[in-house]
Amino acid sequence: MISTEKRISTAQLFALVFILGMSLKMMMLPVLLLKSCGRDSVIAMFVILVAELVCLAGATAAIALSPQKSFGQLLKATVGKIAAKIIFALMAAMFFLKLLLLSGEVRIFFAENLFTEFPWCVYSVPFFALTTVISIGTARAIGRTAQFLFPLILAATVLMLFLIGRGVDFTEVLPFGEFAARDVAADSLRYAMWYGDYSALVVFLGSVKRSRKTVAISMISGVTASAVVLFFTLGLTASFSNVCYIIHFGQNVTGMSHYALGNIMQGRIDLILFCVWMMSVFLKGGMFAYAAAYCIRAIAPMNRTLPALILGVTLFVISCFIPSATGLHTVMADYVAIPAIAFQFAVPALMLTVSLLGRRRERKGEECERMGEDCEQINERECAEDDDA
Amino acid sequence: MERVDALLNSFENPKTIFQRNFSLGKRRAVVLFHPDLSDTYTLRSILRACAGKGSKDASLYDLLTDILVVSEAEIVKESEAVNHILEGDAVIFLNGIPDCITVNTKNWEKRSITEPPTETVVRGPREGFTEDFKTNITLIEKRLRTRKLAIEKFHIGRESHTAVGVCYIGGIVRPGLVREVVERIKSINIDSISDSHYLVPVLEERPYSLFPQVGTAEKPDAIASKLLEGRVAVVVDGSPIVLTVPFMLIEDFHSGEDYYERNSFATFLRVLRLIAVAFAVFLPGLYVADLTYHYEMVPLKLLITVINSLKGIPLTPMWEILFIMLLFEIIREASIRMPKSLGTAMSIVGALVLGDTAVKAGIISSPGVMIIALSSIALYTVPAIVGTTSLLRILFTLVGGLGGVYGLLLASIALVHYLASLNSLGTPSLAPFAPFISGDLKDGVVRAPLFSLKTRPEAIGSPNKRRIG
Amino acid sequence: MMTRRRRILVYKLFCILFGLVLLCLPYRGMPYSDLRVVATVLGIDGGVGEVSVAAQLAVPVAQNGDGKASTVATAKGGSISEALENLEIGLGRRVDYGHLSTVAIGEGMTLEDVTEHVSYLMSSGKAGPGAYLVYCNASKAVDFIEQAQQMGESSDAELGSLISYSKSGNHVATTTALRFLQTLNSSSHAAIMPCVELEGSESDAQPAAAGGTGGGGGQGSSSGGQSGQSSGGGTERKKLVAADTVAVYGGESKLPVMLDAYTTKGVVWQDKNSDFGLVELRNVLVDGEEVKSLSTRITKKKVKRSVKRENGENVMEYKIKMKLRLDDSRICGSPLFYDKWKNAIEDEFESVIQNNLLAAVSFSKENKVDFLGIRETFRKFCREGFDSFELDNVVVTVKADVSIQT
Repeated sequence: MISTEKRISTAQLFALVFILGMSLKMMMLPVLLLKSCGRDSVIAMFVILVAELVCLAGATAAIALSPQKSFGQLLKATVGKIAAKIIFALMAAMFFLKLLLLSGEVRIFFAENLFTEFPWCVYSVPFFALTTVISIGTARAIGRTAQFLFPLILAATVLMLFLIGRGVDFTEVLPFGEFAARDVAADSLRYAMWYGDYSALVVFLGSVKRSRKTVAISMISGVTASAVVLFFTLGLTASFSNVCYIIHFGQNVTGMSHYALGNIMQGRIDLILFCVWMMSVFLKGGMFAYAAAYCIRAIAPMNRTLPALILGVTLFVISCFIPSATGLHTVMADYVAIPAIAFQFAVPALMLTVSLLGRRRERKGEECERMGEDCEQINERECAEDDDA
Repeated sequence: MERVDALLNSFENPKTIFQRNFSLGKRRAVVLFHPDLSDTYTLRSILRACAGKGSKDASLYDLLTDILVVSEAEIVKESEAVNHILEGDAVIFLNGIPDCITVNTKNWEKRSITEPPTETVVRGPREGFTEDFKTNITLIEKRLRTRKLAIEKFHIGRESHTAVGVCYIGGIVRPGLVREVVERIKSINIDSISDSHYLVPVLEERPYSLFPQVGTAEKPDAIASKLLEGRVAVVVDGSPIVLTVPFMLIEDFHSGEDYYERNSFATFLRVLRLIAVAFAVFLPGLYVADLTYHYEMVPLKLLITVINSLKGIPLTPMWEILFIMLLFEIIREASIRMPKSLGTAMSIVGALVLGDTAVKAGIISSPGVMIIALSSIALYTVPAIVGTTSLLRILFTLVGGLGGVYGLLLASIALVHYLASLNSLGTPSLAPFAPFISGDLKDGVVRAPLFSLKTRPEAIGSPNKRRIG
Repeated sequence: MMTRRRRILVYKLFCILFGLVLLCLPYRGMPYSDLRVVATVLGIDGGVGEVSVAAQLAVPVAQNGDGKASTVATAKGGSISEALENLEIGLGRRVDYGHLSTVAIGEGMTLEDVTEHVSYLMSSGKAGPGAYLVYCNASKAVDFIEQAQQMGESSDAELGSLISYSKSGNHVATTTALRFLQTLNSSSHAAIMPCVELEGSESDAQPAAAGGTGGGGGQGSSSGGQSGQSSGGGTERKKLVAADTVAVYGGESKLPVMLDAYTTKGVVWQDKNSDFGLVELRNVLVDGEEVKSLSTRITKKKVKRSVKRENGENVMEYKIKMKLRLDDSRICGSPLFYDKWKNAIEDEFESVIQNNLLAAVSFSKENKVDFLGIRETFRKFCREGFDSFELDNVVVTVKADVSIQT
């Protein structure tokens, strides 16, 4: 049982779900979809977001139903130690890849927007140091950090939405349906690595102070995050639908708000807002790192620091060998898409299954205990009657 | 008396302690006292009271009940006699009777109660703690005339034998908190405690941290209100600073005066302090980051002005800001230590010679001086954390200069994450924001009207939640 | 579990590592501030093979050779990227394009070249999507920027602020780099670019007179933005005039087609983004009396475009609804205003809008350049009409509804 003090609150879960649901999907996914599906990228994004919300529903239901035990404990009790370790290894690999992808997005954004010379090998060290520090910490610290930064991130998001909403001609997203539904679906699946982020909630299983509203609040957060992503996709499609060849990945969101804002005389407010918003991406990176370290610890029990350090150093080395983030995209889209799809749906499903089974076991245990007490009481009564006799 | 001689001989210099012999009835008596710490007038009246009185077999109890009726006296073991003498008490030994009597004859020069320099107020009480333990305890007791106020007193320090008082209000303090505080304090094995800050590391969960996890106050009204919130106060003899635990970072942004002002103005002041500290910490870093990497973020008109000022400056923005910061820190440190008579001369040298001349000579730029001046003034809106914020702004300047906005963002998240993981005896340091406690927000950044502060801070965990009604 | 001491050690190591890495950053990443200059306007001339660029800089810098402080730098190169590289080499400084607010295209530049240059500037991140595009209709862009610079000794992004102001304060056509490319690459394959020019002397500098005879013989006009400053030492006063006419790229012609001021008004009326500024009627007959000038300011403007297929024909309807505030208190103070004049003035404005816009449509049909985006509108909202779209056969109607406020 996880002690009450170590758990995160429902409000913190709200912030975490919002950040998980929004950040990564607003950076490159809309651009990649726009390049491959044209205006139908809005539809593709909508389909992706619906699938995400289904996964979120599964994950939060698992959190609400779990018998306040960690995912590791429940999984071991359900499938056994060896199988659990295999599952954890697969999950660790997936979170590792997600973090690698996220670092690539950070690299693109900063290399193209804010730094004329951005030597990633050097600049990646602080990033991976941050993710390592976060992964050494506790889930509660992540929850609190997310909660503390949430108002800033929300304010930046709302301001960007306002700017885009004011300046973008949304009729430019029309007409839809220029691509066949099959192609749109295929492209949606191709970029599976960019979604399925709610799987990271697995580390919070059993660590949430639940209330009656936990599921509802999480779903509201997820739906809000999805609406934000969809709005940004609409804005991007409306702004760049005919000229997607000029989009360089990282600049999409700032590009939109800059376009909407128009006036440069006041400085690039869009960039300032986006930098504040970027904190959500860094925090999400921290969550992925924490999830990966959590899985590694579940495979081979060790202290918190070692797996986090291993993870950070490995990521740094690998990312230094990746020449460009575009190559990383190709690898992620071409080779990891199918496992990513499976991962996206399997993890929430697994969370729900182990929670339900764990709950059932616990109830059975309670019944057995109660039955045992009843038997004892009957025996005592019988003995007393015998004595009286 | 042999035991008196033995006791005196246990001192490095037996002459330090004065001995006076007298008779109590037929029994021979000796009084021992420290001439520098005891009041001879009180002693004289004791001796006068004892002289020629008492029965043939007078006992310590008789002395206590018949003769020293009005005095603050008690029977103690012989082993404790030395400590009492060193505390300024007179110790009376009767021949042939074990144990002894201590009489309070403490008397030494004390500083009068004045307004503490770090917590001055325009409105509100002006009395502050002094270095005297008893005075400090009295000041607290005077404000909390309740049976529930408890003060656990004990001594810490092998050589200094410093009196420490742990104050709390029974029924309001979180169960187990007092025990933990006392245990932590008693765990110190140190020869001497000069000030209450010696206890800070043992009360903190992360003593190496840059951030305080123990609150401090110099005014009894502040301590009384903290005790009423369910906190524990630690009073140390010889220190005018009283420690309070648990501690939340937002407390540093509060001032005692906030509660004596109109709530809207108090809220404004708190917001102002938060903005000022954010300015102080982030402004130099942001300035450096923008001028080194991100011209596009600065409004054009401002950029033109700044670039024009930077022409010909031999340092990069980062080194320039660090240099000005260093100058400021040197001037600050010197002005604290130097005699007051030199203060004016120092200000002239600092402001005119170093500032104005350096700008005119083209070594540093005027926007740089302005940024540091603004940041430095802003630092002092929250004097309790000046040390922390001073170091943080240097760190953020370095990060901004080397990593631009990217570095600043990463450092900010790392800072928030670190603060989020900090606790002070079970209370989160970032409360009431993370974890978010809506009830506590009434006395967080906002200061709601006093009648609406109906409950004690939830983050402290008091079992008695209601304050009003 | 890790001991406290070891944990502290790990944290310390992290801090040291972090510090070391930051200190190892390449020094060229943190240059001195005076090794960078800020470009606010960029002028481009020529096509592939020989491209000339001129950058208006926010802060004067000493040019190579003469040592004279200047706010314009020019360079040439085989391509736009090479020219921009040469610009930096010539200045001996890195040019920061973060504040690039306007890109000026020189006279006679072909569609291909414009597309190439603007696409490069945007995809390289030098020009943001919000940067304005203008066409120099009487000179090369390089000459234009040089002359504009001579208007004053120091430049505070004069041209850039003019266009920015035009966008927010005047009822004129403006376009950004992104909107230009987006419209150009739509099914209409045409886009407009507002023109700027320097007028020779003060006497020549007329307000941007435009419009044409309205129904009642009035003239419709909206003010062209202008700003003047005496040129250093010269007797002649130059005036920078913006957005009186527009250049249209697209259609079969490689070179831009110039719209006259009257037709330009039509383009502006249907532009949703131009919803502020002064509009004026000249020599208008109100209740039998000739009023020389009637100035109003737009307070609200709504443009709705609807398309449909009707009786085998493509029909497009513009509905323009405007609220105008009358500036002239002599007219609105008259007792006759509400009884007679108000309706008459409203009718006058409505007919001017209709005539201007229909003139623009006619021009579009005559030149076979769909700069009003009619084809694209059909593509978005009427698929059937789009499939059988022919610009010549589209029936365009305009309904204007003007309400005068005092």
